[in-house]
Amino acid sequence: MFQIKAMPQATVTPGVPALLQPGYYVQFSDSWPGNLSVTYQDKKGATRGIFAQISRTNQVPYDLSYIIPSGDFRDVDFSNLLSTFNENLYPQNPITLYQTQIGFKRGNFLAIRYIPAGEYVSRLEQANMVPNVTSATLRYLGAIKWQDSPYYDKRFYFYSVYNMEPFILRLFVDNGVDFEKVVMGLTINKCYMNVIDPDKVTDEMRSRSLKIEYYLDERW
Amino acid sequence: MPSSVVTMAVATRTLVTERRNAKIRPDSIFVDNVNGAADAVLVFNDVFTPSVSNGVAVPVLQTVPRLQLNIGMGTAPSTMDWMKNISFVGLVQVVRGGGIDANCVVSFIYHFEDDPPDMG
Repeated sequence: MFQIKAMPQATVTPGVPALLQPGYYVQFSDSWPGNLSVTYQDKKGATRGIFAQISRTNQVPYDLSYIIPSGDFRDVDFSNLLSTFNENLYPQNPITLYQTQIGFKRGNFLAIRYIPAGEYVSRLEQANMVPNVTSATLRYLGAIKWQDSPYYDKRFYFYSVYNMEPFILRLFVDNGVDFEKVVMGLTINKCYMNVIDPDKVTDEMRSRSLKIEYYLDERW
Repeated sequence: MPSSVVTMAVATRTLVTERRNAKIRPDSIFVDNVNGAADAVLVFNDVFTPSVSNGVAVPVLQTVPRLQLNIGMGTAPSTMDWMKNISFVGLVQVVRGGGIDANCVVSFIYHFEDDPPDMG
């Protein structure tokens, strides 16, 4: 569900598109909950993630910005659920996948990921090692800085489907400035999926697919 | 590179309006006070209303001074290199202390902070 792509060790020519394209395969892991449209029940009644081919895409750029005082934060809610800070960046169609690239313009801030609200994406195994913006040290744990995904070289990817739990990005302005303008550049790659019958999925198709994990797989 | 030229015939002038998705970085400021009637103290303010945040439910307009220049009568100083280290998150405003003067002219050269290969 989340990817922060590292700088490449090598480059290839011609380049490989960073975003999903028509014809690409995606595979949702079996951990996705049965109430979401990207799952099905197999013959034994177990919940499985669908396998699909992208048939259409449309890349939608969008910028969000917030001026936040030092030591304060704003929880940006990417979902369509009405809340104080929701931004309506989730699909409304059950067979649409949003592949969202997120990049930041430079600034003195940290971005901490939660899904759903209050549940950290990144933490360590010791009980106290969780992100905490009120701590002078733990605010940096699991936090993304603008250099990790610059506006013109977006490396932070997020995948969302209809009715998924809200993804929250906590934008915290660190000490050292009075106010900071946090500018997020988004490219929302709208992907229309054609679901493929599981019996017709070959090993070769699976090996070429992008596997999309559920957040519980990643938050272990 | 855009620029803005104003006379200080009024005490407060707007130099650049805010662009929501970029900060403003000045490149240089040139003040022509050669024909000015008096010394001038120019304050460059950053004017904006913050977003709603965890700690501030109802934000109010902020005016934050970012730079102050003392300009002698009969002079025309300019600032250059070090200016690029200052940024304005909102609107850029200049305020002249010591009375208005139509012969005091401020030229403000700037860019929006979104040039691609500028990783710093």
